[in-house]
Amino acid sequence: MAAIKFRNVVKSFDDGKVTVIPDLSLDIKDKEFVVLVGPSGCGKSTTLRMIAGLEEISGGELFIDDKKVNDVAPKDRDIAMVFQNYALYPHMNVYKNLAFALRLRKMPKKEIDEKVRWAASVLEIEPYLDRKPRALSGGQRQRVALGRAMVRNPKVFLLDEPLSNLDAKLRTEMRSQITMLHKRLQTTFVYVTHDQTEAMTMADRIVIMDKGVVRQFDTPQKLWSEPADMFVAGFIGSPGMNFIDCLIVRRGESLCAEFAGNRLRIPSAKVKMLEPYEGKNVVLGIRPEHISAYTGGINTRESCVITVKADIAEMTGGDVNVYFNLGESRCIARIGTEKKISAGDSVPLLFDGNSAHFFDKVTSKAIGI
Amino acid sequence: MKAKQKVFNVAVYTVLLLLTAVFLAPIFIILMNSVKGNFYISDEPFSLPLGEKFVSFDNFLKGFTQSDFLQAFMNSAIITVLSVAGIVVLTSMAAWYIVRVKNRLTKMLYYAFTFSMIVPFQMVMYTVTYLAFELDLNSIWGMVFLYVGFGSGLSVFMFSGFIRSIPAEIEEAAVIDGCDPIRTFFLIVFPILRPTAITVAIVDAMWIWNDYLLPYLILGSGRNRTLPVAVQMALTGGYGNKDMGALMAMLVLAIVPIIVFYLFCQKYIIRGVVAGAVKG
Repeated sequence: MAAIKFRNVVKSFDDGKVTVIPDLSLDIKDKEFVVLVGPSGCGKSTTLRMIAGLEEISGGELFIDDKKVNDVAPKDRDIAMVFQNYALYPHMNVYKNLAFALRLRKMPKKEIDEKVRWAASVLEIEPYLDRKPRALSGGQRQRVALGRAMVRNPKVFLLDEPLSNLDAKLRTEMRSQITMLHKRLQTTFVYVTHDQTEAMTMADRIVIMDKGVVRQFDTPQKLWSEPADMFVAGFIGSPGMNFIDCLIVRRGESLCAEFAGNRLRIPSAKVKMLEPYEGKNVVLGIRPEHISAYTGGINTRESCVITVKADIAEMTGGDVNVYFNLGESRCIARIGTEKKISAGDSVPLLFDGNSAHFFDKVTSKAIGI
Repeated sequence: MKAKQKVFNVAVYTVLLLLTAVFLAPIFIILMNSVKGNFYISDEPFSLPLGEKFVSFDNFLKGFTQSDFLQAFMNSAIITVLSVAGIVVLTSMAAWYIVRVKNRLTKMLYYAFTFSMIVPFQMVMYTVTYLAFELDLNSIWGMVFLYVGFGSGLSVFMFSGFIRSIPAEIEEAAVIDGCDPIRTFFLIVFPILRPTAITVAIVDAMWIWNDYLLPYLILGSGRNRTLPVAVQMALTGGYGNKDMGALMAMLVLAIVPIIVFYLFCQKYIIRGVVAGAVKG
């Protein structure tokens, strides 16, 4: 059990010529399940590898359980890691793979056997203990990799995109297995992925990284409802949030956002924080889920109906993704399947102002957060 | 179409059978003559060892006792075993370092090793012999040293190709599990390299066991002489008093170990050569 603390950690390559992590400060709590997520090259795997001790730290300090580990060898950090391509030892059978780290620690044979069989039973890989990794399926290999980490009973579990080589169905299955494993083991988990669904469903807290910088470190719910900036707002959610340039103006008593000839009344809860922006351009962010098909029902003060021309209508099962242009912005609405919509149709859409987000056009930061 | 294919197959098999016969004929003739009397070897070299021509294993006994065969056999065996072991262990470690540690030095080393493969032995023959004598390497141990040097180019090349196909994560997992670099190499990397290591061992064992020129130049025809040199000496020894029967028996004994070794390990050769060609 351990907390992990990054204090102004810097990571650079080529004698400082290329800096991938400019200044990272992060507190991961004991027993927490933290997911590092971001686009390729954002530094999430490098961050994980620094915790593992596989990458040297160029500057700053890293603590595991209040012990500075900058110069501590990986084997002495009491961590275990699960790799993207499983990294099982191909010449050893499953039993030997699981027992390898324990044998190196000169643990008594009986104890090794107990631990190996315990991990194998938890992960349901007992029938395969005599098999070599090449005789296992992807899911079984991944479970062996998890088992190899489990038997060590480490302070910290590090998982580097462990599900990315599995098919969609198996990934969903393994996702729940890993979540249950975390609950059962009560250990700190740090998990790297580029899949936001994995991040949102598994994490206690998510670190969203971009170009080596932490954009937001928060719970999945907060990241969804209160994104810190346009990057986070666009990254979380599928399809991503729509961004529309708008002008904040006062019309009578009300503060409104005007865009592409349309007007959306600013909800009273957001009026105060948007007042300083009166007469200025900001970015209105609205998730596809918060744009619905207008059927002539109730239109609240904070909503507006806009009729758009659907360019593409994608059936996804329970919903239809409708693509359309609004001014210069390309937008998507996720609407129900009650009404059949085809490409080229004119569709009246209801924009829910209460769920709208506003971002500073210059800094891209969320206004009021 | 089928008839055409059949004719083609017959032609291909005929050519292959002829080629096989051409390659096997010398070995068969030596085997046949190794159990024939001296008179019949020179008079009827292609006849089968039947009846009075057959002398059982007398030639083998003579070959053993007359030409100090056992000493030459032991010299060849020691040099081959130690050199092959040295080449396999040292070059696999060198290749691992070259592939995993990426800097200017390792790049230069890799080019140096691969360049050494294309330099013909005759080009460096004189300088190597001279240096070997200057550095007191004209001994069995010196030969091992020289063979490790001469064999390293191809071996480093082959090992490097295979190591590139091993995901580095496997070694990182070993490091996290508690291995230092030496343990990582011997417990994880080297066992994975086994197919390539066996291929390198076979190729080098055949080369070193059969090599004539280098041991002749360095060890000469003295007590440290190797088997090919001893056989050649028996062949040219003394005016007309050559014992062809004993010579044939010596040749059989000289090729048996390497053929057995080859047959034992041949299934790994293709695997080792192909290994590293395709990732996965």
